[in-house]
Amino acid sequence: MTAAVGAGVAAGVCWAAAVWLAAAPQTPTFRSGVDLIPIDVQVVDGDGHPVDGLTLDQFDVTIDGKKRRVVSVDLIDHRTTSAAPSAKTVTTIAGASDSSSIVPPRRIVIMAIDTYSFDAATAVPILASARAFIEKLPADDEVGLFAYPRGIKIDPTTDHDAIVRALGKIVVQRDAPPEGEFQLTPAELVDLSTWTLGRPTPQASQLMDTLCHGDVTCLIRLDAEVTGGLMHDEAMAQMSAGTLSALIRELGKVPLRKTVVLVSGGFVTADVPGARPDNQEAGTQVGKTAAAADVSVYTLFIDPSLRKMISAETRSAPRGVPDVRREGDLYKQWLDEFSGRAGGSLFRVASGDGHFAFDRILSETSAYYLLGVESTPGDRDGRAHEMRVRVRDKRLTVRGRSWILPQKPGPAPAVVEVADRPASAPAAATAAASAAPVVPEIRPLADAFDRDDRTAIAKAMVGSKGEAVIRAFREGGDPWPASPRRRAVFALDLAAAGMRVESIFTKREAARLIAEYALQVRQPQPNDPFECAWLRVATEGLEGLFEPSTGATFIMRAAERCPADPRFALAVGVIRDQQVRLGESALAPVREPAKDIPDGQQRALDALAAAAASPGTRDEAIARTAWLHFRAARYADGLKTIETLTTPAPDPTVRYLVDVIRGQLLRALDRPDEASAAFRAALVAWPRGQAAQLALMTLLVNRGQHDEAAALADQIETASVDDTDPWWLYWVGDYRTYSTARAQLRERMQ
Amino acid sequence: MRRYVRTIVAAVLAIAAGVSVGVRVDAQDAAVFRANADAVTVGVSVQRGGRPVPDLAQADFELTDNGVAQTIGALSYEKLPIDLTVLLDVSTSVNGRVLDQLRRAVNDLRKNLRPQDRLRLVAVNMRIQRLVDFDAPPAAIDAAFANLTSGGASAVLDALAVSLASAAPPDRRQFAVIFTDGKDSISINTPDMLLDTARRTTAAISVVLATPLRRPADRIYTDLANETGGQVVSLLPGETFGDTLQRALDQFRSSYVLTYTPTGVERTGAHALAVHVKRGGVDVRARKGYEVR
Repeated sequence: MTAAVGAGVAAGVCWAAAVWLAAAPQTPTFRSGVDLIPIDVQVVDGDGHPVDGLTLDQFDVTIDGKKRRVVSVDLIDHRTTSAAPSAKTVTTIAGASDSSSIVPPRRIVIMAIDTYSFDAATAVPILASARAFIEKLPADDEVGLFAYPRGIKIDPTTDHDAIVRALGKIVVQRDAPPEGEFQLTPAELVDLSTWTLGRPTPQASQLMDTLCHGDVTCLIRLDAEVTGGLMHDEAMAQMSAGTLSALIRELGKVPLRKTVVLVSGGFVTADVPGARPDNQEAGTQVGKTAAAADVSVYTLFIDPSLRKMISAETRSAPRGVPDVRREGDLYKQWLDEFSGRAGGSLFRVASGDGHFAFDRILSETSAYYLLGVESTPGDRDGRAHEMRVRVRDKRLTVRGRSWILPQKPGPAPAVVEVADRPASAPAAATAAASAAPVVPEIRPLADAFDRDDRTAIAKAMVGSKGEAVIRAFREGGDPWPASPRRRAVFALDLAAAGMRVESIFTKREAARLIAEYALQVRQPQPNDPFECAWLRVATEGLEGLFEPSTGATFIMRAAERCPADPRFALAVGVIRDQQVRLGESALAPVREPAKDIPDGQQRALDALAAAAASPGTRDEAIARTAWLHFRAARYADGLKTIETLTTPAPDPTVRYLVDVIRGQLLRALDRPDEASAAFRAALVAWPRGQAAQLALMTLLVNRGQHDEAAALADQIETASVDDTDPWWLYWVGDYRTYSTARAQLRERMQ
Repeated sequence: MRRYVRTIVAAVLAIAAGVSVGVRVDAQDAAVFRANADAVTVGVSVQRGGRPVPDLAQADFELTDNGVAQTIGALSYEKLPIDLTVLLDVSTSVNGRVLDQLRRAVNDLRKNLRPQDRLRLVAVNMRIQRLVDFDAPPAAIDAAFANLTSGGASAVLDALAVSLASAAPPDRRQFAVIFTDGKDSISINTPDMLLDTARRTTAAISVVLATPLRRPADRIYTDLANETGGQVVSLLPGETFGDTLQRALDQFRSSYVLTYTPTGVERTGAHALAVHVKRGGVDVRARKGYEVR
């Protein structure tokens, strides 16, 4: 047995098929003169017990809505005490040229744990039940473990004890955005998403009024919290869907009976048309993949709504009792999209250890019918066909896939060569990832990335193409299957370009991509060099957008992941201040200080104070604090703050900013001589800095020194295009070092 | 002793949107100034039914400075040459199509200038860049636009401050028009600083907003127009920048310029101005004051 801990998702999902295909186990084989399509279904009673004794005439099968003849019915029963399952031919249709029979296959059961979707405390009893479930499986069942996005992965094995031991080591931790100011419930998030999309529902309008009372700056912060929450939920769902689909696709290559038992807390999916998080399509795709691959998916939905409700009751701004049922359904909806479509079911676990669900799965999967259904020429056309199986007795439940993809006649699919191993022995999880072909849209961009041509990537995002390109990248194969880091950096370049175009759809897709890859690059421990380098570039890019609604939550999360790098703390201050600035730009200028510091300003001041605690960011954080005071007409506070800087900053950029801001504060306090000296000092730190010249120019006009002011005006208008000014990048924080940080990231990517 | 004679030129310009006055302290000699040789010129727009009233005489005007009636020494109409500065906001929000419209508008405007008038073109994003200076050949405009790209943040207030602070010959009237979406994101000068600068300089400022949306923050443009004798107009659907620009220039041009020497008031400090026309049914717009240090 080999446990692959922390393997990249892209590589990790492909391991199973390779070893199973190589193992060439038994396959359900009809020996009949009629071309039959094998269809397996479980028929259970109200308690989940398999029902045996059903005969041909009790099944009703339709494919693409047309009734089909059922030629044979075999019950595959694992409820035996012997190691091998029994297979008995229940009945065959009269007239078949040979008697139908089946070689009963072994089963494969994959325990998939979505480790980011529920919390550690909830996980303990659930995983205990999962262990008990594994122990009860028949000895010849091949059992695999797939903890994702990050966690232990074990190839299918009959060594059930190994799986049980590994389950005891799995680390589960719900991934959630940082605690927000408004502590939005999922339902509130969904409702408010209609506002961020420009079509607020009455519920959204009411919430906005309740939370912000018309305060523009509050609405800006609310927008950021909503957008951050949406990005997070969509990224989680995209990543989960991608991982699950890849796993299921690979499982589809194995000609055995396959069951995935998924343990997940789900992701919020909108239940209002046109609202977000828009995860329905991702769920549907997983469902179709599962159906086509003939993989049954049983899901234990670990409903977090009860815990959320308790949290909501304790939040600082109570606004009514949450609708717990709706909250839970929002998490469940995504899972509903695919659970059961391929013959499984979904069980909600609101509290406790979920053993009832595991028992039910054990029971339901302990026996199934294999139907031989007569095919028609159009069935094997390489496309999925909708299928439905019913039984006459309406009290019984049929669990079966809703799509089939009958194999095209021709050679068998290629088998990935794997070193010799016994069919039932633990596999080496070293099978090469079978890279999907790269779609045409992505190949030239991948080449451009390899030669560091950002312009080509930016061009690909222009117009309405960007959204399609990002989707193609997500779904269309991996240009660097052996290098997930390279892929992650490429995703960052793609997202950075996508977020700078006008198309709102491309922007949204790009934001999803960046949030998704922030999860992909995450390492178990904080302060990982590559993860933090990646987050640094992403953070600086988001600062540069000056769209705090997009960047705020992401950057706060990045700061949590990389606490050793103080630039992240400063970035939080910058993005908070961007929120304040957005509010200012919409309002009349502040001429008198407010009696109390408004919430948004206080949050920015707190964040900047945290950044000022580190020597490396102290000077800049203090300068930014002083400038915030200036904008709020708290000139004395601003001057007092900036005068704590007693030695010149070593960085000329920061030194220039400090002197310009000091000058503006002195001028506002009617100390023009000192202000003039400060502006001139700024021009020593950064000769020809435009902001310092401008500030000095208007000061001179006000003092009647028109000639010198006019000379400065002329100098400003005729400056060389090579002259730059750090002030131009004041509002975008560390975006000024984006290119350097990106170059360093590319080095780490190697 | 300083070698220059200081004169104060107040240009009170009345244009459709409001009263405006430009005040300028020019070539100076402190001794002469103290000898009461200061001259103030005030531009005044007089309209009836939206049309200029061109036949007024000196005796038709009454002017007070800090409440003290002043004697108008000279009156002119459409005579002084004009220095026109066109500022184009080329920040991220401006695309190639708009740039082409702006190029045509500026070229048309240049053709309609009188021989004695001059035009200067300035591009504004975070950088304030003079593209075409006064007296540049006509081809310079096309050449400037050919190399112009849009993008970046927008320092609208700073650009206006530069226009106000630029050198202004006393024998020419200064008029600046900016085309912008009004969204200033990077200026170091605050609205109050800009207004202070406007009170101490002579140029009239008109603002053409690309969008009819008006936010509280846009109030600075109205205040600035009132202070300097310009106007604020929003580009309406179907209107071109060229039409709007030409109309603004026509209105500026068809103003009276009154000249007086302040008497009975302190030279320095704030001066409140009031202009009245002794005819009924006319709309008189003039700047409300100026300041001398």
